[in-house]
Amino acid sequence: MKGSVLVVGAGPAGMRASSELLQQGFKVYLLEEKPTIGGKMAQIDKMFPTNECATCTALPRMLELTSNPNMAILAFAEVTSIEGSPGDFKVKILKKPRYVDPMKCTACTDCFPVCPVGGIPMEFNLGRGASKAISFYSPFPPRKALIYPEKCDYILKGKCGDKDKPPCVEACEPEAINFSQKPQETEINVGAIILSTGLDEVREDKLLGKYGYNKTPNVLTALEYERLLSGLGPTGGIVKCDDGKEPQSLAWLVLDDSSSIGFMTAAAEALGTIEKNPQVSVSILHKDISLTRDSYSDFYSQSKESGVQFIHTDSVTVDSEGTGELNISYEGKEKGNLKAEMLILVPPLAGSPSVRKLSEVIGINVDEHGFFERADGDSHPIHTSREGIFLCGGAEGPKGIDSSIIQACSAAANVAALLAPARGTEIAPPVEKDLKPVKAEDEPEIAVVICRCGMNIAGLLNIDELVEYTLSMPHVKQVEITPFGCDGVAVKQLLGTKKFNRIVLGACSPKTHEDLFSLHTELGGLNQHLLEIVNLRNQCTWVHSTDKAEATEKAKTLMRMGVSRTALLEPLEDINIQITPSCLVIGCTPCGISCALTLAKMGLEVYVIESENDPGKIKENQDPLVKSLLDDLKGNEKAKIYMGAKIGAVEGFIGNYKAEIVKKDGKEDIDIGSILIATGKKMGVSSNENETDYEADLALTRDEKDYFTGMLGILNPLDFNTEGVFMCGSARTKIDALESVIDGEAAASRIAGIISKEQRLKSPRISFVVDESCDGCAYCIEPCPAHAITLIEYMYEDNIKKTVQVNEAVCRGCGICMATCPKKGIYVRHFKPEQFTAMIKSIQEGA
Amino acid sequence: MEKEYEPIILTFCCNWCAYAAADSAGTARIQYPSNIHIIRYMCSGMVHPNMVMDTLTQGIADGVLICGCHPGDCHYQNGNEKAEARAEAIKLMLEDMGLEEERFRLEWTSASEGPKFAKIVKEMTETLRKLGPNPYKN
Repeated sequence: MKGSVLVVGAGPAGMRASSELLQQGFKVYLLEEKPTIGGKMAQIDKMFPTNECATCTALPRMLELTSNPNMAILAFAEVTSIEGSPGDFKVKILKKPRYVDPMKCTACTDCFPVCPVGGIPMEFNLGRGASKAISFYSPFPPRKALIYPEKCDYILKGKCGDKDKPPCVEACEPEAINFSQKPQETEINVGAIILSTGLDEVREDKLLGKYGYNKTPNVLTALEYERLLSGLGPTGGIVKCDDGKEPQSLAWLVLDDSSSIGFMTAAAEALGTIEKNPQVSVSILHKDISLTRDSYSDFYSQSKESGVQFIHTDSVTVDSEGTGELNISYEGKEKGNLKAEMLILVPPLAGSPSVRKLSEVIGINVDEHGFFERADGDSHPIHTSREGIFLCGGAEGPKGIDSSIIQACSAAANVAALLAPARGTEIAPPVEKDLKPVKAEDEPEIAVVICRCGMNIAGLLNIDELVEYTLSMPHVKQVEITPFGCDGVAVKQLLGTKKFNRIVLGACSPKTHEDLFSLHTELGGLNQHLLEIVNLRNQCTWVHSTDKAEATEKAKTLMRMGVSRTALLEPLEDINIQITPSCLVIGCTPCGISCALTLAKMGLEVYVIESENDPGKIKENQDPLVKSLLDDLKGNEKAKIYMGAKIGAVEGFIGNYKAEIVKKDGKEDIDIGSILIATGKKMGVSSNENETDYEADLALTRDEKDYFTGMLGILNPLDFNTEGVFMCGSARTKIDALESVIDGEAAASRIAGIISKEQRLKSPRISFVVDESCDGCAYCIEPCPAHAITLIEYMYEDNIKKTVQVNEAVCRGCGICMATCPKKGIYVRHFKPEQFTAMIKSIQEGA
Repeated sequence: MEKEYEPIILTFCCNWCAYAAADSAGTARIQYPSNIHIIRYMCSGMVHPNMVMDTLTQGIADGVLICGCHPGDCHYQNGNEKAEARAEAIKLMLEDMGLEEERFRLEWTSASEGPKFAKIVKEMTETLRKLGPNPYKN
């Protein structure tokens, strides 16, 4: 049995399923047909029903995935055959040629301006904006150039420019361009497969043509409009008509009446539009719609209150009459007409266009809309007719990102249960490190590497002047220039001499490259927290590219700031938290049952507590699927079910909770690593029932409808703010039995991510109490979003001393405590006030 | 000849949204004045009001800008709300110290709002150019 998984499709569902599996100790191959990952989530601006920025939400997750050593991203590739059986599939993959070696390409973009072929409509922007024949497909990872063969002069005519070599090859320092690349077939061996191929708009003329799509200017689809809203889109986030004018009136026409997704998309786009410009008028024309989720109806109300006009209608005609304005007449429940400068059509959604071919390759049917069919007679939505292959997200049917995330977690849980015996067998061993012993108080001896980044840095400032200046700074012993810092050569060479105890890298953004540079630093033999990255590219040369002298001066200041801070950096060790590998499930409800059973199948110990005497009699458990799951659970030796029992006091933190089980015949204490709240909908407080104390013990919160609420954000539907505690099913939202089963499986994935390992390593960049400064005023306790801080008293030289204590397992390192403390009594490691004071003071020094 | 006054602006960007916004302004090659100097913090709620006030009262910078995630987008639930509450306190302290309120700004920029970030920098630089140097500068 293999301990690796193939995930097909790198949208929000595929990325999430991958990330869940990585956390549980599986190797993941994430295949994507497009050259970059992110799917539709990367193309949209804001998400319903949370109105969060999609890029802010997705980008950190993308970077996490790309830097994980157990993750192989196979972008610009397709599956050509799948053979074998569950636990042992052989998959053939065809990688499409980029004509650029991604291992060599440093994303320096030096080849773009020299390419003579421009004006190519950008697919990622749905035809808007223009690129060169060599360019990036999108702003997202993997950030590697590619050549469009159908546009490239050299590929089409065998010659480009007047020299032998085409200009892009001339410009490419790392020699990454390779015109002889051919489609390349590889084979991988995996234990299970997840299909997360996503959705697309049906942009067909026969459906959209009558409203002027592809005929009349300023009639576009919802996804096309998302690119106009996005700051990373062709208009920099300013909505513009085809003639460049900013429209003052916009209308949406919802043509997707099979689900509420189209309606919600329109609401999110209209809200996003008036948030940018409150002066514009926005109307949404829609048919009858039923919003089953509370979060959707709340979002609808929010958009309505913000000024979005909703018009309930059955039939719409659009007439442009060449005036530049669109006349829209509607009939039905409401009747009338309106004028708009821009019309956004919201088409129905279908499975991704490429699934039909994939369907033939893997032998799983798709329906007329391009959604994969589930197994015959199986009501479980993510099971396919081929054992060992699971579905999630848009591949299964139209849904929003919120539901896709739940299904992705559920698919990951199903895979983890199937491959439980092979968990951990294919993950990379930890990198061998031989670190130079460094103490915080050691005299700083700083090495500096300045990256040319092709011409991106070196071409836009005076690099020799910068090197000379940097060498004159205190503690700086050596400064080297490197063509591309991301190859790690210069960092490893300098640190290999063991002469330095700090390193500064003047290069690109730490946001995208910190993980990589940290790895190089440790491979070179220096603790990664002794590295400082100065963002010379994204925040200097690229934004001051018209004045070389100005960019050089700015770069000097930035280097000065970086070096000043670096001198005060301290080596830090990862924090290791021991984990109790078991879980407590409170409530033998459909989701409680499915979670417990999934965990038990993964080989993890689970305690199920139910206050009713017979869970089989609970109304929600009468569903045939739930009934069979309950029977399986009763027969599983990993699960211990306590009926007619309640939870007493609970204490502890992630990985290390203690709970008291109150049974009819006495009490029992259990140790668990994680807790699931699966208590179902609160039925009001009955007089004979003690108020449950564990909610207060765990700092759990409920909303005004008595549903539990937890971490904010579309990616965290099941996570409480208290780490290691999760919610699911009708304890968190209005949900039916089948959805509850999926919810429970998803929760099992979240939980297994914690308890399937004996220990959990976390970043040491968390809060640290300075005992001599802290006087126990406790101002920091309440603002801490992680509830990580407690007040303690102890005897010190015959006096009672008050101070606060940080639970390292729980602290997230946000530094809200640090900013609250009036006495410099607490700080976040690596974000020590002195380090930043030095940095700030150094700004002035050059002036 | 005396050098023409150019304001120095210290900027704290939260790691999650605002720093990414500044990066994306770079990726899109949007030009803005070189007057700002960005410090990467984990959260806008990590910025101590004293850090802002010291920078101004020691005459190190002519203005301080804090950029964080939009309300509801905070990586730490509500760090940006904390920053907003502190901004009110900072404004009062500025008044006490005889400093103009334009010397401090708190802004929300999402990861895709590079253009907005550049616009804020341009505006603040212009404002401070007109306002003249920080009176605490010797």
